[in-house]
Amino acid sequence: MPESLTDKVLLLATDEQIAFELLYNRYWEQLYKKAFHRLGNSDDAQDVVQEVFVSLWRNRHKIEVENTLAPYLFTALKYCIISQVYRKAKKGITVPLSIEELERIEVSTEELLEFKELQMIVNNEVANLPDRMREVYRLSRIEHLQVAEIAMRLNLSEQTVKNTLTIALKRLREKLARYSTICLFMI
Amino acid sequence: MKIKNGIQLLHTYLYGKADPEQKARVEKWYESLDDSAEMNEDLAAVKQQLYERTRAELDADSKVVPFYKTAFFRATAAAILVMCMGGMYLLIKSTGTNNTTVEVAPQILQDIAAPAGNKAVLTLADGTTIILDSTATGAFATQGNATVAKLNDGKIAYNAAGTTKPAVVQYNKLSVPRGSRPMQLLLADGTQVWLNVASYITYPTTFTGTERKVEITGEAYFEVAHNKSMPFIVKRNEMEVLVLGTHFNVNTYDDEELFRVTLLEGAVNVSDGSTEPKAIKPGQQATLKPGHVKSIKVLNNIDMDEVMAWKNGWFNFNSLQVTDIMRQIEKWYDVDVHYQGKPGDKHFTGIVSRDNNVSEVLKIMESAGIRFKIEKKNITVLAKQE
Repeated sequence: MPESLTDKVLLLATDEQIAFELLYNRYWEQLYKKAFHRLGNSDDAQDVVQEVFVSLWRNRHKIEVENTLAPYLFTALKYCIISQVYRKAKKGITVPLSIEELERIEVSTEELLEFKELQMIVNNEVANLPDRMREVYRLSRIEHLQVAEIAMRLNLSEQTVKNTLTIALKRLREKLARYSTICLFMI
Repeated sequence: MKIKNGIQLLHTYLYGKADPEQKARVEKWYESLDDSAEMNEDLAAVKQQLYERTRAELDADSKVVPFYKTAFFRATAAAILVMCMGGMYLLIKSTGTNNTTVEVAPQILQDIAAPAGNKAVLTLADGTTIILDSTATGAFATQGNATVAKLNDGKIAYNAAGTTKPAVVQYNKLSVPRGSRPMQLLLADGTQVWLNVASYITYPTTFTGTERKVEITGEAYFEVAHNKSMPFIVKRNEMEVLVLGTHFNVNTYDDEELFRVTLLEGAVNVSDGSTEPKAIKPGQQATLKPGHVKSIKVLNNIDMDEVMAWKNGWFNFNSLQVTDIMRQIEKWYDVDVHYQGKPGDKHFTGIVSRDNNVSEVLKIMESAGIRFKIEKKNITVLAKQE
């Protein structure tokens, strides 16, 4: 299987062992380093990265992606790391990504505005989608319904739901690309 | 809203309840570390190790039906029951002859705590023994084609690398002595084994050929990875349990009268070589009298909570005599039990957490007038004076 295949193609490839290995090779190091710097040891870092890959692979037929899986993986990693830090903090264990630092951290008005603005931009772009597309996007991203459920609710075929979602995401990405990469994590 | 407490803030964030300001704070904090800092790590080794353990979890996925549901619900149900009762045991019932109760002063002066840790020992093919509790997590041995690793949860896992057959099949043995917590083992084929106290299992480090055969003594619970072309066989003396992929418990202690195979899911065949194998269904238990031919019996309506209590952290006595209960206590608390006079034939029913000191377990029987004396690692059962 050629390495040039996109993440999306690999996700659905029938030779799942090779596809998984290629995706693993593509992302493991960035994920691991991010986890290691935050959790401070190899065991915990490996735990969270394993969790991210396992959840990716278990859900691979349900994930809608444009070409790259990076936003999906890094968002998943963020939640895994933060919940790991949360669990440890409750036991009184401190890691480099420390609760003390969180308690110290301040968000300036500008930062908050920027954050809110980005969210608003995303919301605006979502609102600008055609009705049907917006509804599919909302059910998928906000209500976290499966494609099959969305299809049933809206009386559409599953394929139509998938196609609609793909187009919606593509449109959003194109519109948001000029703002900031952070936006891409929000959709 | 400003949350001062960091833990509380993370809780709000993780449950999706954070407002924009809280979200912004958590995300700024999350990104506040330098991702390009140097790491003193052998990245090639990490890459390999992480790949293998992730792959192992995914492979186990596709072969084994998750067990969580039942285990989770049973444990939760049991925990809730106990909390409701606010105490250690739920129900104490004594039946049988001689029900004259006499007030007795408690005889328990010393107490014995439940096993705090795991004392499991692994014996490699060359006879080397490894104390697993003091072994660091990660891969620690290579056996033929398989790497042996201790996972973060303390589980021992075999991972067969590559598809080439090893020249010689190597066998390892995992032992859990008396006074130890149970041990979890992940075999090279993805089969999961929980080994109870005072038990051991011998198994090949990689599975080749037409069958997957392991031998046990004592008690173990299996979740066998499905593989139609390679049946899984659990052997104990003349008894063989043949399975394709399923969940079942095997109790074969030397000091018990019968071997018991209890099926939770799927189907298994139990044979002793003297008759046709007997097929059992979920909820049934096959018993076999060791050393006797044609002794296999199939029992219906088995109480699964009672059978699986050991794995879920309970003693679950369902109408047992003192001697039956004391045999379980001997293994778990690593004590020797002596009898002064005849213990009688009363039957006791009760559920107690295995984390308790032994005195809490003995209370179930004390309320019926049986007294105990604890001296170091010896417990003497004192028959009631008539």
